[in-house]
Amino acid sequence: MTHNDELLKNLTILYVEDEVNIRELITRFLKRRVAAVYEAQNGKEGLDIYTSHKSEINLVITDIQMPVMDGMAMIEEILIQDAVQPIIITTAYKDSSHTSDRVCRNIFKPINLEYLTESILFCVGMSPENEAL
Amino acid sequence: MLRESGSVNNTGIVMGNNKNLQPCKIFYKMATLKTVWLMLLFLFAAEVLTAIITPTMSYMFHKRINYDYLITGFVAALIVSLVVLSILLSLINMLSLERKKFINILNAMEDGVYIVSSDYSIEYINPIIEEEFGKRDGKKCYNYLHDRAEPCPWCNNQKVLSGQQIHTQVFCSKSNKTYELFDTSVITHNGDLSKLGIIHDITKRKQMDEEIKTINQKLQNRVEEEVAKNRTKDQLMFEQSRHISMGELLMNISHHWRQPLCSIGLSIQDIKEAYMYGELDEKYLDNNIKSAMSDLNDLSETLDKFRNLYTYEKEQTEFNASKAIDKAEVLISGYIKNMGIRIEKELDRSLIIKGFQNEFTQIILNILTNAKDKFEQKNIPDGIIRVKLNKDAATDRVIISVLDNGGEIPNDIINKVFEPYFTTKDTAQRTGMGLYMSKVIVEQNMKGTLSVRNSDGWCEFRIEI
Repeated sequence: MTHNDELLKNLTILYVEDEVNIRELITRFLKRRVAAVYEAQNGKEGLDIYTSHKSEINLVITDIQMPVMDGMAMIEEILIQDAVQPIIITTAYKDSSHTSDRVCRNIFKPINLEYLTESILFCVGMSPENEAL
Repeated sequence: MLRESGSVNNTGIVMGNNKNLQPCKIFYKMATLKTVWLMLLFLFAAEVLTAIITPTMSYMFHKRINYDYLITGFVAALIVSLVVLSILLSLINMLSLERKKFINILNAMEDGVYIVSSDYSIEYINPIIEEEFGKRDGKKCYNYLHDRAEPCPWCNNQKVLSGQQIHTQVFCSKSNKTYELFDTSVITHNGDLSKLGIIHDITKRKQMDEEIKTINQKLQNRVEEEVAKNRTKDQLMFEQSRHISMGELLMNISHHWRQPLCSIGLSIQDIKEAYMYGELDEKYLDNNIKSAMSDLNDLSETLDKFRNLYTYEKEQTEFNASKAIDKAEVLISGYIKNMGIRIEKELDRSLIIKGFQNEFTQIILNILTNAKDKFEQKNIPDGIIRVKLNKDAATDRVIISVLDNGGEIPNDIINKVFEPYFTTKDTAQRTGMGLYMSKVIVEQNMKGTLSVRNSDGWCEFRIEI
């Protein structure tokens, strides 16, 4: 087991995506590698889970265009609670309203899983909390 | 009898239609000066006769000459002849005064006046003519007015003297001017028929007419140019709107496509994942293939739906309005599903309308897209679009009403939403042609109306066909 796999194994991730197929496949991908995955269908659900589990959550991965509360609004709320929370955006749109420079990485759909893995490692590696790990 | 022969003036000159001229002629001849002398001679003779007859008669009856009678006769005859003479003199005086007055009027006129006899001699010209053409020096009219050696080929003397009045325009090469000419016959003081001509210089008017004509022509050209320009502009606008609808088509397709594409991509990558983690068996493979194929079918279906929408329709058909609305909803669903927008429909599914079905679907799609854009722009998470289809019993028209809760349109722009190139959106995204083209199509092809209004925080687009 590589150092990277080791690193991933201890992570808890919040994954927010409204599209069922994609959510299932990405969740399956994450669950193979990380300790725990919280799934949410929209920003509101995601924010609720984050608020009650923020001590465990190392990384947030979220879509942007979603019903009820979109990804951007949720990100704003999360950063209020924790200004250095590592976040990855997964979106189909490369324009300014679907990306942000306040997050760790913007990943564009269709998602390349190798790049997603690398991004997760990059983002949790950047977090001071995880550097201590 | 005089009055019957035309308008009379006190100068003894009768103008106008002189059909009953002959009986008057003698009268006019009598009015000449020669006649006056003749009459005086006649009176004198009568007096002498009286002077002879009176004593002769007295001798015959009384057998002697009564000198009293003789003297009385002489005195009476003298008085009578004096009275007649003074009456005649005052008449002549009056006549000459009136003539003077008439000539003064002619002289004072701003138009040229001439009188020409039947043998082309000039009897009278007023100062305007003299100023224009010089001294007449006994010239004939054709020579004086037109520098010709013989009567003018267009001469109307004959006609005028036979009683016609002629209105015409002539160009005179001698003065290089254009005149409006009025010719009529007159009886001159010696009782002959002559031609009275009044010429009015219309050179300036003519020039002005020409100028106006030129200006009008220029204006006409200008209008034609502008019309042509507008046509080109319309053509451009049409082409542009085609590009836009192509753009919108691509946007809509891409919204439908992005998620399935992502999902297919993940399914394929997941096969390797499963293999690495030792989970891959036939069932796992089947599952992933099934899921990917289903997504691929969706992609294909989306293409078909949009392709049908943009196929060319040769002629108008009768179609079910609710089905066209459903189609528009399906086409935009890729967009609105992600945004949590809800479409509520209240459709009378029996209504049939006539037109180009695809065009109609595009109009509904345009209106739905407009509402969707508004929700997006204002960041409204729980947008509702309410689509109603029913028949107005009073007007017998089909009403399609699309309401959205994205807020009212401000009063200062509500009148502009149907103008071409009007948009409140990011201009990179929108060109402001959608609603304009929709209105044009509803009004021109479907003979209906498309209007917009605010009601209680909702905004309603209403089509009446």
